Amino acid sequence: MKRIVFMIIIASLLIITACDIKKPVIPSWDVNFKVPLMNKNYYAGDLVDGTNFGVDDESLMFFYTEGEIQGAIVEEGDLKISANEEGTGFIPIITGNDYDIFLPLKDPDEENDVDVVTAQIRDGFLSIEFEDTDLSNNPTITIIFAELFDPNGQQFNYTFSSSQLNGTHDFSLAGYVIEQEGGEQVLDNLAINILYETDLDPNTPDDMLLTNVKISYNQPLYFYEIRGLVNNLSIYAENFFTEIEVDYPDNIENAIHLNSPEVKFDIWSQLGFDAKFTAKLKAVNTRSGEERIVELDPRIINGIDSPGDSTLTKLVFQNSIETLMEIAPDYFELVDALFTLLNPENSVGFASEGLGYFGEYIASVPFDISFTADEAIRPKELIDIAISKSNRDQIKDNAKSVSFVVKFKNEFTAGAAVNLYLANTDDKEILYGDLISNDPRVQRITFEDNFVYSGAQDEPYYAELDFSLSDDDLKLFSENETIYFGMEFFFEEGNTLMHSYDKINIVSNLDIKLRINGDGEEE
Amino acid sequence: MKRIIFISILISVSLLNAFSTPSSTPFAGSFMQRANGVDAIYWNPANLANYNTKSEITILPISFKAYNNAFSIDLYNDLMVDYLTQDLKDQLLNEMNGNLNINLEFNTILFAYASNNFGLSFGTLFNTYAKIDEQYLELILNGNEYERDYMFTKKDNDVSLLAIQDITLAFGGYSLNYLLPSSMDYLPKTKYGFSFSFLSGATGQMDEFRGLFRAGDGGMNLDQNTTLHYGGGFGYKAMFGISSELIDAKPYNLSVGMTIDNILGTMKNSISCEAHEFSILAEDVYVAHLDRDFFTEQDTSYTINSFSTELPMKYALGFLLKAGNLSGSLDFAKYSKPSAFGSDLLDTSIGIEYELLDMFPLQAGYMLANDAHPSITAFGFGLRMKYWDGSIGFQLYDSVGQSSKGTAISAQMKFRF
Repeated sequence: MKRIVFMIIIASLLIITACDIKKPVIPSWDVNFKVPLMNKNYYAGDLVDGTNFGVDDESLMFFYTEGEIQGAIVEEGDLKISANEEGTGFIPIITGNDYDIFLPLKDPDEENDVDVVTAQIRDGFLSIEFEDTDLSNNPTITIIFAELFDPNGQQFNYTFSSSQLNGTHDFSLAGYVIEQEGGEQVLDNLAINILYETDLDPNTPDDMLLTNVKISYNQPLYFYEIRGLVNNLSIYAENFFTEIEVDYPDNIENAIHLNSPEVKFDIWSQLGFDAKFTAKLKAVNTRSGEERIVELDPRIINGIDSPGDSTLTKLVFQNSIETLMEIAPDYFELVDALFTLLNPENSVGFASEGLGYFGEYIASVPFDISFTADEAIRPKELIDIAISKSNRDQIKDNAKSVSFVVKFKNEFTAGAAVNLYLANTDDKEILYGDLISNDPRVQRITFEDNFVYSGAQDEPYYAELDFSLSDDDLKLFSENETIYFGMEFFFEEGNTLMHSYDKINIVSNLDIKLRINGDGEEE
Repeated sequence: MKRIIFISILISVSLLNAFSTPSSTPFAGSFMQRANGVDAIYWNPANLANYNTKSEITILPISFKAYNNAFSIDLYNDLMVDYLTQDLKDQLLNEMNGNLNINLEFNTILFAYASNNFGLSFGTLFNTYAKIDEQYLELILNGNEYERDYMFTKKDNDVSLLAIQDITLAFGGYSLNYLLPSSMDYLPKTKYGFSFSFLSGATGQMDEFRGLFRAGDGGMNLDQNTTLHYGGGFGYKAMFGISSELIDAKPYNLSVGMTIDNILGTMKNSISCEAHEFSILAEDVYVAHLDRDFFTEQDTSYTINSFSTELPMKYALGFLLKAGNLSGSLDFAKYSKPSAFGSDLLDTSIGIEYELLDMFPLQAGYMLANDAHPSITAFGFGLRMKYWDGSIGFQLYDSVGQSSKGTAISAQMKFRF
């Protein structure tokens, strides 16, 4: 058996040693990878980006801002009749006479008081004062208000006994209602009927003074709601600002052309009076600090016909809006919005506390782009390229050459000079800067003055540019975790109307030639 | 364990060319009519009793073969340099016919015994192959072409494994002439035999390999789907063979044999049957956007129902001409249809042997190349005595010497009593 094994080994060795087999080594070789870098469409619409940017059905671009009108309501105290301390004055109650008297509700000196046809009283007191009462015949006095009803709907009817016919008696009118039967006229006075009785009845002699009575309201009467007239009632809305989140490309202020910007208001009214609406709009470009304010033309907001309803008034303002918007604002504020209630021809209306005006507005700014020569337009977004450590090491140790190809497909109807920038910083001032940074940490590669001619959507212009990177340039890729790729366009001057779908397509791929190290080149 | 099976499948594979024996190695498979005794159990049971003693046994004969379709020693030496030039890379790629195909096979008989008309054998076969697409190597060596679709299919990417043990009972050496009517006495002496094999083992195959890689303006795209299944089980097969001496006029003797193998052959796999699916998808990937998840990967294993692996019928025809100490053989073999066990292409091989001093056989063989395998050049030598027989054999694939793309080595010995 050993002999056989020995023979096999010998024979195998003979076979193997008969062959000339080199010592195994891992050779090095060059490999060329072509890797897609990016494929991006820069639509005209992409030049301006953000949540407040839109494209309409006809692909026209606009940016917009929306806001609200709130807080414009009738406040407590707005609906009132001022105190009337004099009231009826002291009226002697003498037997043998009838007493139908009036308590004035209107003071010509109080211009802001409301005039009521009907009203619900939120707060107020009625004062009834007696003096010089002759108690010898135990008189009683009854006071009846024709238009004043308690919360249960009972007419104000109060009888004062003999013992009560001295001093002042205050009655809270909270919850009372002023109503008039079948009347639609403004009440200038409240009608009062005073009745009396004595122990001598029915044989009470005439011309006997029973007491002196005065009816007044020493504090204002405040109303929850009224039907009647308001006078000089102004309701302010809260100031409301919005921040317009639009990423404008750098220098876009010089390229965009506003096209009939407008501000639309939708205002709902809950009050039964027409109102005059006045307001100011303020726009701020916080980047430049520029601020503009325009005053809107006064407009009428229609009142409602029936309580509980609401009615919509649409307002469109165009004048002066362009002035406001041409600074490409990013802050927009509605200032001093005011509703002044009107009583045209003294027509009766109605109002209630807590009700008023609410709504919203939208400032819509259609724009075209007409480029200005020598003004750089830069997409807001930089393209960042992360390079892993292993790839950085590969590039550092093995990259023999790196080049990249950039293909342009231009559908813009304007040609453009294109500059490409690669840097290890996303600081745009450095990336796009004209001056070379003195900071040794900053690495930047520029490819400038590459011209792309104008095209059209149905006939794009194609251009392909090849860029090679020097050994020194390669350090940008081998020494940085992230590099940033930026572009800027210098469009030809023109008044071409840009649609949002007009675009420039940029495709790029890297061409990397690497040396794969073998045994002989390993460190 | 499942992972081990799976990894085994990935790194190896199998193609059962046939249940052969290490003794056939020096003849490149031209061995049907040369096989007798324990070898005849697998080659042609009709020749089971064609030896001069009462019994024969063999213990642990082995053969091992490894070959590929591209690498030769010459090419290997050419590539063992410090730097691969484009010419060298092209030379390597040109050697591949669409893929790099690696085949490994290990074959042994634990114990085999033959006595008169009966044979019993316990054999083991481990056979694998793997194919890797030439385009993968092209990507590694040259990089990628822009806007080119690299399509990968199962045709050039495959993996298969077969590990199988057999217990084979053979009966042969029976005269067919006795069964024929006397009117057919003119027929030469013809014997027949048959065998039954009980099989056990594991098999794994790739069901699907579909891939696409493309780098272009549309980004980098990769879509790769692979499905494998594997399992273990039991099976059986049968073989029938006849052998006839056409000329028997000393010193000349011409015999012809014919076998039909894998009759009713099947492997029923019902143990640990699983399928494994792997897919990876990356669409429109750009370097500038690699900060986000740019591919989806799915790796799933699940139990599958038992499955059968059919052993296709194999037809073989062999001739052997003896003239004193010199003999020559010619063999043809073909599967009925392509399967995991091999292509259905015709294998043609020839073998010669010269018995020096009546005890030192010098052997050589050659199998013609076909689309399934390269040509095989074989040689061997041994010592043949009445009660003891031993030999070693070698095979070289595609070419001889430094240009060979693979080799096989075998050693065997038999005892007769």
